[in-house]
Amino acid sequence: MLRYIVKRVLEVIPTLLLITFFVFMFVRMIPGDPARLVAGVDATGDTIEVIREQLGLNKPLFTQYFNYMAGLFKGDLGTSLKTNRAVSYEIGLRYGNTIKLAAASLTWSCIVGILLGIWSGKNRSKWQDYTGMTIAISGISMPSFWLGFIVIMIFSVKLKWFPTTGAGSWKNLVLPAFTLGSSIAAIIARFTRSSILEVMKEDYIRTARAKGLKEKIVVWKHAFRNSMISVITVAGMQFGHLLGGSVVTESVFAYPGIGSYLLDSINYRDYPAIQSLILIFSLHFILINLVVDLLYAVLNPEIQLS
Amino acid sequence: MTEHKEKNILEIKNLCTYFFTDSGTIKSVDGVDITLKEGSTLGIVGESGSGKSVTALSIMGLLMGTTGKVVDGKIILDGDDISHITPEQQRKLRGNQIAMIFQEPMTSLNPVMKIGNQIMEVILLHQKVTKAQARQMTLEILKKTDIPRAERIMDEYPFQLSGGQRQRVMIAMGLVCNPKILIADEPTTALDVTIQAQILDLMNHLKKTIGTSTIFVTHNLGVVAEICDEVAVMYCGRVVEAGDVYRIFAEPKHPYTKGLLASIPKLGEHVERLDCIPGNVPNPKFMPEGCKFAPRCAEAMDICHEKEPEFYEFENGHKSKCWLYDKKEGGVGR
Amino acid sequence: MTKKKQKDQNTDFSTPFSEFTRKFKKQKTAIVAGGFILLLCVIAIIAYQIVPYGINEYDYSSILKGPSAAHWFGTDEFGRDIFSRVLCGTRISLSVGLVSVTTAAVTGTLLGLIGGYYGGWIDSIIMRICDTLLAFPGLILAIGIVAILGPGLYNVVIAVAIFGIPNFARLVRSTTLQLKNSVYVMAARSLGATDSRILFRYILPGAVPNIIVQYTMSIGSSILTASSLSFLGMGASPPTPEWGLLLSNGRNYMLTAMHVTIFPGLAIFMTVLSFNLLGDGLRDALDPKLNE
Repeated sequence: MLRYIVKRVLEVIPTLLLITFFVFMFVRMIPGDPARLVAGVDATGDTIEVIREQLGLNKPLFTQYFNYMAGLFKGDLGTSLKTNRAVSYEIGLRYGNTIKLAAASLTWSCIVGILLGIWSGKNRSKWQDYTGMTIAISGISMPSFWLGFIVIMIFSVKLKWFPTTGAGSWKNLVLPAFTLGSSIAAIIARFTRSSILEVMKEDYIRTARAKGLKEKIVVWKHAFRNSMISVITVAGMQFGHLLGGSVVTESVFAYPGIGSYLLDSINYRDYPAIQSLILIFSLHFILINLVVDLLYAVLNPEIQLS
Repeated sequence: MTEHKEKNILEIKNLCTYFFTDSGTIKSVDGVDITLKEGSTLGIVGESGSGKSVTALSIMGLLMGTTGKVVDGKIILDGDDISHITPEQQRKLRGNQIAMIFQEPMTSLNPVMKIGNQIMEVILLHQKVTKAQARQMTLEILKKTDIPRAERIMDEYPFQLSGGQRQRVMIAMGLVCNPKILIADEPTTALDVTIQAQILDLMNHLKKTIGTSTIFVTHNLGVVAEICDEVAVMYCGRVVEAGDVYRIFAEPKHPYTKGLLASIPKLGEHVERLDCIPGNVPNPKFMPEGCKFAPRCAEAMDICHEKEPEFYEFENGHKSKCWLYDKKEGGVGR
Repeated sequence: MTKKKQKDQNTDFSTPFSEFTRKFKKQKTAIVAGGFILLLCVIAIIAYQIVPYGINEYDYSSILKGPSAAHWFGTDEFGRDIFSRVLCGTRISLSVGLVSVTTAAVTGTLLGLIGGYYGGWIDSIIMRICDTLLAFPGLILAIGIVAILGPGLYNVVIAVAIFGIPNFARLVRSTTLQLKNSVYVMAARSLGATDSRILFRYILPGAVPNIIVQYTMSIGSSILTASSLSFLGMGASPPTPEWGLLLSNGRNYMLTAMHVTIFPGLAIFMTVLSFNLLGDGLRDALDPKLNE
């Protein structure tokens, strides 16, 4: 099993390198001249050139890439073109907020999604199934920005239970976490249901019933344990949705996280910030997938013992 | 003649199990009568679709998740009528008083649970023992099934075992609570021939040592000959012939049984063509009137196509459902 | 005298298509959803002809008014009729969805067929590209592509199409891998069938049910992505009546005029829901293993 872990970790490295390269190249492809933007609208050609030199934008691409990679290793993510502070500092201000939001969303959506999926699957074709799956399919069909607004209008404006914007206390997390997590909970519910239904058709479930086990135990101890592996994999895959969704949700709630920061940076053409943010997003995604793979190994005895 | 006081541990009268699908009702089991004597092994023989597996599942109450329902019939287990008990009562019987083992050992065990735990689970469910005692009992029953390295296997997972070993585990799991009846649904069909022989040997051995009354469902007459004391032959959801295994093999009465026995190639016999029963098993949605075997029967008479026959009795409980043996209808009792 | 057609042993079989129709007819929600989609298509085509007001008809005398008899969905900050604007937005969303998903489906299917069938380095390259595309979290990738190409609906279509290719490629590839070693394909090969014939007449039909389901579900998600991009300001630009844009307009008036955000969002929700319901119904009807 150790071999498997090491292998998976090593496989991540070339992907990471590829990603850094793509991100670097890609940001260079965004139209607009950052030097000009920084210099300002009225700047003359000379000023722009000076700034271009300051920012190192006139060096050959390869050198730029090299400097960029060197900087990465030192933890230097460049300087924001907008605020002139270190990008790492800017990200640092906001990173924690997004992590809190992501964690809250993922937690509730996994729990509710799995429970809803099993409830529906256990009662296949009965009213519980129809209710559960109607909720789930609505969850994936709803645009998150619309849900966000509705939730704000009801719970923030009318009922005044939670604040509309900002971060700081747990109250700030509730509405955004609900919005961000709902489509994920829905996907997990649907997938858990179909996984449970498949597993319940297996022979060893018949054996479990033949042993005289209560149906509840058959479902949770025998069926779900086998479903769990694939459910966790799917939940991990949803992390990508989470990251993307955070951009929209943070925008709706004016939540100061790295999602809304990405949006601001793109609008401002803040190269170094955009670059670093996309890199960070992708990095997290890859890491989560790695964790899911490793978890898969831990849960699946076949891999554990070979 | 000495009076044998043999107790019937299981009596089934007129069992009917139908499947209610969208494309029609399938009468999988339609009037099955079976008696199982205590301590003996009854074989239920038939082709695919004869209803033999469904009969077994009906006894166990394992029709959940399918569209099947037992619509009629009496099932009497050791004197108690269990035909209309609640699902919860039924559940308490399973694994405890009636146990079942299945055809596919490769997929019948939970892949993510250790073998020892799977067997201990059934012990702890039905008996008030400690975990340590359960573990001991598990070890003992595993040893009785001649499984090598029983201690090690307790902590292994199904994927680490071979097909034959898994089937031994299934047998152990079925017998560990000392059930009154063990139902074995084609337990050797999915195994290699050599392993088949080993498992049959094991079951014969267990028959002598533990003596559980067994129902053995199979399509293989060879297996029946090896291990069964009595046989019931099923066709189209009905029992067409039943009796002592020696008598049935020596003097089959029903044309279907005769056909089955005739189609087994015999060692040493040189034939140009193998005998077979002409025609096909009828489509369950389009059952013929009268005797279900009549369309394929070489000895069919007019009455056979009109009415279903009753059982006609011969010596020692041997009986057959065939108009040939009705004195009135023209059979001379061949 | 009526002649009743008696089904007997010899005619009691069914073709895959009739099995599909029979199962599909039982999926009542899917049928209703399909009907709604047809309605949307009709609206998309004739919207501009039937709307009560022009989409750019300003009316400063009735700004931000709620739903009324004159304006079923109310008016926006310029007095424009929201109902008319939402109706006309149907054409935009549907075309964006259809075009982007069709592009992704065709491209992805080709890539999946080729990669799965020929294997080797072609397959490796295709898979690497797909994996890289999938390595970027979904919306971020779309945002990135639009950032490079510039804002606007055409680029949104391209972004969503690129974003969707790996799903189709992987799906078709795994079906191709399964089927290319099946007995009937080997039989065809032994009869001298050419590769392209095998791919298109033998393997592709096997993948079609999965492709259809994925296609339907993808339309829903691509409409969501496109409207999200417009909402974020990267897609359509005013005064285009794109639903996401209409919603982002309304955010300034959340406290006073909720209807400006509610109705466009409702339109997106109903449309995506219909496609998802239809996709579910199709999948249940096409699944041969589904026991009833």
